[in-house]
Amino acid sequence: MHLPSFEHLEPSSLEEALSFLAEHKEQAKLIAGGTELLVSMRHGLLAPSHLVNLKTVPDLDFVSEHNGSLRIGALTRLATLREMPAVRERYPVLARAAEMVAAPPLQVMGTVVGNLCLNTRCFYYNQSPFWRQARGACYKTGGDRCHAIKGGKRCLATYQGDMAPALIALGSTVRVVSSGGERETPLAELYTGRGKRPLALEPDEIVAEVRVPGPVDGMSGDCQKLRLRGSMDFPLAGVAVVLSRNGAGICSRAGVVLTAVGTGPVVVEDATQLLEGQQVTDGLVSQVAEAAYEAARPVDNVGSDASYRRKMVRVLTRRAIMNAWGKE
Amino acid sequence: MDKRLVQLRVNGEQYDVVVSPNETLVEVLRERLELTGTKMGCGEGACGTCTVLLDGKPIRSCLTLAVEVQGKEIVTIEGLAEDGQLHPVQKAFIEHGAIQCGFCSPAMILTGKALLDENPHPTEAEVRQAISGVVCRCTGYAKIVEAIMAAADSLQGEGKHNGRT
Amino acid sequence: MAEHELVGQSVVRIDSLAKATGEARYTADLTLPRMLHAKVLRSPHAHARILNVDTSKAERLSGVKAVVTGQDAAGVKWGVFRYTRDHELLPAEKVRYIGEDVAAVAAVDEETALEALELIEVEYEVLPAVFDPLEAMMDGAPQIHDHAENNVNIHVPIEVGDVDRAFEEAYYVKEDRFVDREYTYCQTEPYAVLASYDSNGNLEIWTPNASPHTKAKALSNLLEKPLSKVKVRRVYTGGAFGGRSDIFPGEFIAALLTMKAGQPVKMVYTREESLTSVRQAHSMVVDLKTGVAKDGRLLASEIKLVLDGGAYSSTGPIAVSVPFLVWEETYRLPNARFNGYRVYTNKPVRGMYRCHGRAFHGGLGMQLDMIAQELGMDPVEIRLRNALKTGEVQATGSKIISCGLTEAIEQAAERSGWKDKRGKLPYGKGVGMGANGMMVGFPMGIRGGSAAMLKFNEDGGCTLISGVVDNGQGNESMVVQIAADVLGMKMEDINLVSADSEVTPLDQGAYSQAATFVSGNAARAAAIDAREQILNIASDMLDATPGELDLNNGQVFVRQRPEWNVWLGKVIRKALLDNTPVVGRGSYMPKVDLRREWVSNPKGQHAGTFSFGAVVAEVEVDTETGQVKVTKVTGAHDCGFAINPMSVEGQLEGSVASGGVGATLLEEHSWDGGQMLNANMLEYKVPLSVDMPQITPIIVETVDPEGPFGAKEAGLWGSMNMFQAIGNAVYDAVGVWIREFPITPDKVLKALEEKDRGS
Repeated sequence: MHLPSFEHLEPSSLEEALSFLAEHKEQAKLIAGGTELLVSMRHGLLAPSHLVNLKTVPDLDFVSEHNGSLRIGALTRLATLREMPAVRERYPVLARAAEMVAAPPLQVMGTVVGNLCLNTRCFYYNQSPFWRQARGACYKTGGDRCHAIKGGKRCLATYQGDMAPALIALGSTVRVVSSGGERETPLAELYTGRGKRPLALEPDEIVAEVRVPGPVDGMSGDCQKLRLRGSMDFPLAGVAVVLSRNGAGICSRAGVVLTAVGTGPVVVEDATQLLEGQQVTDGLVSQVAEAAYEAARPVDNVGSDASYRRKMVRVLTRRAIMNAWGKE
Repeated sequence: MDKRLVQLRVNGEQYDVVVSPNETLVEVLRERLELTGTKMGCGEGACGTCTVLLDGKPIRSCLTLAVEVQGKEIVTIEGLAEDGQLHPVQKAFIEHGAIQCGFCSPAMILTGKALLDENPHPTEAEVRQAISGVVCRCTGYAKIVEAIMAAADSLQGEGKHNGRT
Repeated sequence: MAEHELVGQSVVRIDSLAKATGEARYTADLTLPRMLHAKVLRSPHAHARILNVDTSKAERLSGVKAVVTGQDAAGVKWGVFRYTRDHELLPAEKVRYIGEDVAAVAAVDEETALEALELIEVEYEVLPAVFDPLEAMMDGAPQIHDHAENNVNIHVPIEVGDVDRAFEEAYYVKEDRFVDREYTYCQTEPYAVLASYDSNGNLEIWTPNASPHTKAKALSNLLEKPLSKVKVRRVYTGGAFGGRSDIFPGEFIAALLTMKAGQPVKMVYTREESLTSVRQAHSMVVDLKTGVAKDGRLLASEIKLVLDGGAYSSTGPIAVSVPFLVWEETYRLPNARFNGYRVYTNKPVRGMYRCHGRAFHGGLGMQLDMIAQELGMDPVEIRLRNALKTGEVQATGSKIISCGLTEAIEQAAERSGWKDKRGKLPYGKGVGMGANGMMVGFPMGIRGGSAAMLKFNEDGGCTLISGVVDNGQGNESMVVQIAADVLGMKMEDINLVSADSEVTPLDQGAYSQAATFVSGNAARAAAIDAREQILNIASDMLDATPGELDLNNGQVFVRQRPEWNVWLGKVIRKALLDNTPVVGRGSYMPKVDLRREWVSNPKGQHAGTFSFGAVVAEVEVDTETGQVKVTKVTGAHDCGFAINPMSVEGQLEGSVASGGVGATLLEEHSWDGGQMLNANMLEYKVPLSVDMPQITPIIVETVDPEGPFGAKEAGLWGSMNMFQAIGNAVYDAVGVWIREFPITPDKVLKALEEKDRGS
């Protein structure tokens, strides 16, 4: 069964890619790994008239260090992040997150930025045209209702990216470019929190780079993923925790970020408040886990049971903190 | 849609094919080049039966556009044997009963070969992880894992490290 | 037992090379000149009358060569038995599930076919639909078939002994309900069909199948053509597991299209269509009431089973009975009452499935453990107490001619370290056992047997012609191995022509676990017959009696004086000249009671023989997440005799994946009304390599008196006893019984929370 028709553009520079996007706007889509895009096109969810092949633009596939910080290019594959010695040594939580995405062949094809920019998902959305036609349009496909939550007032499609929590918890920023210029934004602000249009990106913008601040002494992290099988699956709930322990054994810095329990990654602000400046005791860990539970709002639209997934946020958060804290 | 002449390097041979941008690699391999050893099990990247090696790495050919892989080395199951000699992974699959219905076998064999090219001494856990993206409904994976481990031994025994084709 | 050179050895399968090199072509890989591509227009409604189908615009689209609707289908209905004919494979009046076939187009390519589908205008009158079988049975529920009151498709009542009295006398009675969601085969090869029609009226069909003869007969009925004109060809099949057995709309539609277009037609389903519009496994609600004596003997069994059959009957009557029959094939049931109801709902069609009845067998197996606990008995002990033995007769009257159940239970227990583990592992870890018997070769009327032939070439090679079907189990290799063993030949010197409804004699197919027992026996008989003919002819040439001769390695020789020999090729030539060419023939029909009928007379010898197995599963439960990991599986299978031990192991290991980790823990279809939410391979969770336990298969050989070389069957082992084993192991690990399948982590967690609150 063929994909819908489109023109395939091969820019030879980032500028050219940007000008293609500026020209075609909503009608054009970037193709990098293609592992999400082509499936969505097969499902008739997207029918861009033009695909702009980012892979023909040179110098976007890199992982480099700048003044102690890490820079990840738009075309860096998940497998690269997973294997790179510098990443495994200095940001093991990132290698671990990359390792948990889908399965090895999809890590070869898929990019880090692609995973960050994953569209939100829902059982009623990610379906073939025939399937969706039997039910009619929903908010996300331009209709006026939600099929997953009867009587729902807005789209609650779930964000299921694996990389965002760890990168946000590390305090990453993204460099977003367009023909008109560029901006650097905290990664957390790339997400709108809206199920229907989850990314704060204009059609003519490209996320060119992810910048991860240099690891501080005493920093460590861990991520946990709930899935039913040991490979392939999107997360049903996910947590990343990044902590820094100072010389006095106090948690000097903490970031706890969730995935698969909302319309975007969920930064658990309360966790940071609770942890920073404290000794990490069992009691505190439970409190933080509770805060994560409160912040999580999973919805029954991606499988399993939402109340179960929410409970697991507690468990996974606790485990992630114990692992992260125990490492240093 | 503008059709395009692309030069595909498949199993060491060059093929000049006129394709539309929306043709995926699996479609071109199966329908144009008649290399039907690569299968289409789901078309969504979830089953792995469309696996081919792209510059030595296993990828989903159902999620790859043919126009984007010019100049890359593509290896399908048909290209594994050399001069009529089976690749040790193929031999091991046959000898260890790792093939039942056979639908996932090309993908499993290619994935096994790619693993051993990169990691000649995998542990069982590493083998399982490497093939965790390919679905098998018949074997329970037991003899597939056994075969890949045995192939690793035989490759070491031969003192030869099969490089990329 | 005489030493065998081949049979009993682990040998390389004859089809492995073609599969390892990509040479093996499956249906979607085939092409014929001028071949068209077909697509089906499916109903978006779960229940609706078809008021009108206007195909005129589609027919006018350039590139479209044929369009068919229910009007082309002559209204013929299909059913596996005469009394279950309820399925118009291309309906003219009504659709009964989302995804049902309404019209189809054959065009020069798939895009054109899809475009044409969009141009077909269908007017529906949407009717109220019902999706839950218990609701469907209630008065006032939408009626799906005119003939089926309260939507009951099949009711199988089986009664043995005096159940009510037995309950009164029982020392302990336990009652439980177990529930199952739907699951499915999800073979890696999606459904496909290629059909070709010639001007002589010959229809040729290639489609992955478990029985070409079954498909051919059904098509012959539906198309009103004699069997000689319907040729279902052998084709590599990417797994079946019960989901390729009966006739499907796809074959019928492809046949209609090719007959109309005059060109071959290929139709390849998407994965979604393969999951929604072919077959699935039944979901079930099972009410079990079991009464036992103080020593653990089963005294009384009352079982009510409600199966969700979906929109049509499919292999309904068989599917309803099998769960109970498997139970009575395992244990002594002196008094039993079974009422199985298959109910229509507006969902896709359910059929036979190799792991058929997880709520049933999982439930019965778990209930046995519950009873054992109450009585202070070990679960192994209660099973041994009730396990059937050779020579015994089952509840509905089948005699067991070979039985290794006791050995299987004992060996599985011993090798798994049961005594040191059950009740003794740290909290969170546990072991559980499952056991069952399995029918081999059940009554299928004229279709229950197999015949085979062997023809020889003048250079000593030969061709075995057999209806045997291979869906990946290794059946093709098995018959060749058997024939080669009898004839003293190398496997590579025997060709096989198989599974072709035109050429190969009637065979039951890969069905009722009968390939080895029936097809293997027929092949063996044909080889023995050929051998006899060869020795008879050679006896003239060697001046010895046939009894003094042996055949091995292409030579006939005098046993005591091997230097007196003659090349087989010469014997073949002499036979040709003498006008007594060597043609071996043999057949086998399992010795079943032909009067036995699934519904009207479920008594009498049900199967030619029975295989038995027991499995011990070891699990680790993460008590915080409820996730169950199966770490080890030790299973013993009485397969009679392992013709190819490597193949038998492969079957056992596959069962652990599909019946065990898959069906017990992961696999289910989620629904919203009549729509499947996870009709794809990402969300329908088939176990992966990293989900599998360590597996120790144990082959128990009881050497069946009827089976070829004593062989029975291998393959259904784990499929039906893994549910019990895992469910029981979870109890041993964390003290909760999960009565709903699949045993997903949220259910385990909920049960643990309830247990904590309760205590």
